[in-house]
Amino acid sequence: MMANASFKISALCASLLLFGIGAALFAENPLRAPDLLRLLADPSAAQSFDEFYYAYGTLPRLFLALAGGALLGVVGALLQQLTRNPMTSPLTLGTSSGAWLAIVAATAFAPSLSADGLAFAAFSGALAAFGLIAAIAGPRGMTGPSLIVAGMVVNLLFGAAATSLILLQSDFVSNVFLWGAGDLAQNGWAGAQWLLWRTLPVFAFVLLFSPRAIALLSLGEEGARARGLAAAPVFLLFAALGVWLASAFITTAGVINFTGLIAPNIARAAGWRSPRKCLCGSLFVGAALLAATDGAAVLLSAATESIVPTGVISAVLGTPVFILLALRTMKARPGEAARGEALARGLRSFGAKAAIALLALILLCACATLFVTRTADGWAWEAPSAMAAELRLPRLITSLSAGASLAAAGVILQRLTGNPLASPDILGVTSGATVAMVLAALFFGAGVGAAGAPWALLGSFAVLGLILQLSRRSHYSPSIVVLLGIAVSAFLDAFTALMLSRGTMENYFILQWLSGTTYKATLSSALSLALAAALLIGAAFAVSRSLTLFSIGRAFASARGLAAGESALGLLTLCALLCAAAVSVMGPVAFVGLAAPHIAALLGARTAKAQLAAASLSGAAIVGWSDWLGQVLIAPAQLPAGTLAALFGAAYFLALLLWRRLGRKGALH
Amino acid sequence: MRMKSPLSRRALCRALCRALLLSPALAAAAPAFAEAPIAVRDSIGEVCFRAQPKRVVALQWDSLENLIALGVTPVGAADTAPWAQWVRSPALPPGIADVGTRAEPSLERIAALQPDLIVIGPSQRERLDVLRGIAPVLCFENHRAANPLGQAETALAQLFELARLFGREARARAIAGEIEEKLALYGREIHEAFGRAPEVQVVRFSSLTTLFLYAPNSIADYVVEKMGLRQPLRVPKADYGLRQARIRDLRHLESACVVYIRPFPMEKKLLSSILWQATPFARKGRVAAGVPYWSHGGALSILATAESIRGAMLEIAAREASPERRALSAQAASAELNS
Repeated sequence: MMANASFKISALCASLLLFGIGAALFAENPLRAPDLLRLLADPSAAQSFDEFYYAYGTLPRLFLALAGGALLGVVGALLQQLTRNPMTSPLTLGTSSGAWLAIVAATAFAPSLSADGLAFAAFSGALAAFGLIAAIAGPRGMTGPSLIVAGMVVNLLFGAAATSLILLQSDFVSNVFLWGAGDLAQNGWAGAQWLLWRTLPVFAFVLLFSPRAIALLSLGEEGARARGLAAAPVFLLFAALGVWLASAFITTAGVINFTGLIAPNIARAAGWRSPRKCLCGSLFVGAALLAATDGAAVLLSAATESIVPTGVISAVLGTPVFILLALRTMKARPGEAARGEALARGLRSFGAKAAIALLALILLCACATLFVTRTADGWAWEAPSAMAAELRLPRLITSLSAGASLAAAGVILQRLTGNPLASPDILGVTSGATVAMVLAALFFGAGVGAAGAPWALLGSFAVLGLILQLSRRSHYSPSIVVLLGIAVSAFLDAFTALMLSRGTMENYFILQWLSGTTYKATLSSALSLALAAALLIGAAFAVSRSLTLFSIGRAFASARGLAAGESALGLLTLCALLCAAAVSVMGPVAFVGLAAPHIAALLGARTAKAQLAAASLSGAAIVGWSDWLGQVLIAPAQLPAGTLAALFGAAYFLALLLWRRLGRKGALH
Repeated sequence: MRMKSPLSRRALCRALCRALLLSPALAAAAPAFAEAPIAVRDSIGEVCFRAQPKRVVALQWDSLENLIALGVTPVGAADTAPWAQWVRSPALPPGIADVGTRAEPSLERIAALQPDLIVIGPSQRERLDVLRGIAPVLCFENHRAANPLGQAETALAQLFELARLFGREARARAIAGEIEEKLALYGREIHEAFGRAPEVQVVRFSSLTTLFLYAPNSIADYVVEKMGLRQPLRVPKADYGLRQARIRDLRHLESACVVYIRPFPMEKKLLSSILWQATPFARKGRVAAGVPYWSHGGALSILATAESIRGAMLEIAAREASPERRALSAQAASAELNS
């Protein structure tokens, strides 16, 4: 049986490999076979451009696909075995976005940096992301779902930072967009050679020494120590080496997700389970996967006479596989569907004082937005003119309503799934709405904001439906919903990168919209959003009993006579409507849906109604303040509210997670 | 609603214009309209002005450039800081207030300048209603592939519309005349330098393997045609006049010259790369850099583009006519004579 699976998968990978090599060699090559062989033996014999292209464009690209795939496969296998988590990869750990942020920053501020400098920057960024995650999850958390949740948080934070950097320095970083989309095209062997020499020693070291270390680490800390292995330093050493390998690849070819995550899973499915077998198997599978992906990209580029980056193909093909894998993994380990614990303990109950404080915060924000501006002469505090009021009021209404909607959606999702980390952005619901609007803009040519609410609604419904359908059996286990969210967000990132790589001005408008802006809000759009938010949050209040029952448990809810299936569907619909309403007016705003319910809990909101109220108010306050700050911080230019809110939310959330960890450590000692 | 719908106001204005233009007696009877009102055609329709605007805000670089070319200094403009780096010439006169980015200019700062004309482009069109509430708006679009006119023709048409509004038609005619003259002159110079009409492909690099081709609706293509030359790669029109391509797509340019527009941070690395050097034009030394210019600019950008391409082409011609070359061709000629 196992041998059978191993044979089948080997055959599959071999055919993928053949397809990839065939597509790479023949898709855009007019040369005859004897010439190809001659050039393979002696590239310097190239005469015509086609011959040069074959020897110095096609072959290095193929080499990079094979070597890079092997590299990513090994990195994935290494990290997954170290963390004993089948869903670990540079993507899920957030190290990809760390490296990406570093590369964007380096390109913006030090454009003449050498490849080594850039690689070092990428490595530092990735390592910083990894360090942050390790600090949040802690040594014990490295093997559980909390690692991936921490990774997602870091992903969103670094992604928001990179976006704001691109928006501020757009003229200087436009050259990195194609890179960000994951482009394997080569011009000469320099890139391939660079990658080879920077990674080969580390690669060999990992292949030789990590299997034994992994085997010992799998015994647990005590077991490893008994056999003379200091667990933590060894773990960190190998993790850092893995991060270095991934960063070197990103420096050469940009962000290509999924290969490193999928390859080790396929290798394990083939029965290659021992540490060494898994590493070597992932090497082979990874090479086959990336070669086939790149082959498809070459074929598609030739067929459409346009440039299709490999990273986009990887995302399109990888997302469904990733989702299937996530489901299989979760099915295999049903015991993991643990209920999440409350993240924060703060006030004992949500009382009048906290409510008044929140309302005061919102009122203050409204005053700031309406009365305080920065004119050409400096700060001004005055009653707005009719014209200014007409401009400021819609923005205020939009930001407050969007914040409240997303926060309420977060409360619903967290209660429904019993997962304190569920939120519209972590779950990919806002990403779904965004993908739909971006794709509509891409294929129907309208401006991205103009595509409008129907698409946003369609997108968020599609993702929510998917989550509902797929994770029902796992009882909305924390890891699976987060994994689905990661998949959808990675898909979105790939398409955003594709649009940005086309290099025209339109892209900046898309990016601006993607970072969540109230700039285009009109009084009518603001009022309709406010109305929708009021109605939908009102509806949530009306069904708060089912929210209470769900948060105790699904079985309990059924026992109390709640038609669990229908109620869940209704609540999810409510949530999708809330997200779509917010996204269609101001674009995606991350972290509010995650942070606001926790702030509410921190303020002592225990009951469903209290949490809904407190979270909506906090969400409104976060986005409202972000919007005002965005308008005045770098006036007359503006920062999008969504980016600022994401930065605030993420910083708050990271602080919360860290604080919780430190608090727990304190309790231990 | 406090504001009247802009459409009806526009229609009203047009009707008023027509009435005034058609009845000189009425115009004469009303001393307030010392001059005949001016109807300016933009990408949306027609806007009627009864007096010359004095305080202009320009939110798009192509109109800003045209205004400065006409000698009109706006009171406010968007993205004045990066202008010096990307458009470079003409230099902005002092005293223009910055109103934020082109994508999201600060509407309040614009209103605070109390303009009597706002010139915008496609990226601000979504806030047209608000801008119209501040002042009359002229919207000029020059970037769509679907436009019947290319970017250069649009820039010239815009120049003349603005000139009519500001009573500087003579100046606009002089600029257009200079463009016409210079383009023809440069064309002749290039013809003479090469002894024929060389093909020239204008590109801009985007990575070590990719570049942008200037599409038929770009200013570069307009300039090349006006100089009596042509670009060998015929690509479809593209938004913003730029089309992404790989270096490999240039492989058939056997007899053409290639002009790449600076800046590109990895220029040295690209020029020394093996694929670039393997292209037919690079092997024959038919490549040169053009000085930077703003690809989506106004009328003066047409001149800047022409100067950039001319400089690069003359450099190539000089290289072709270098002593070794001349010796080689002389050898070939004598061989031909002897045979």
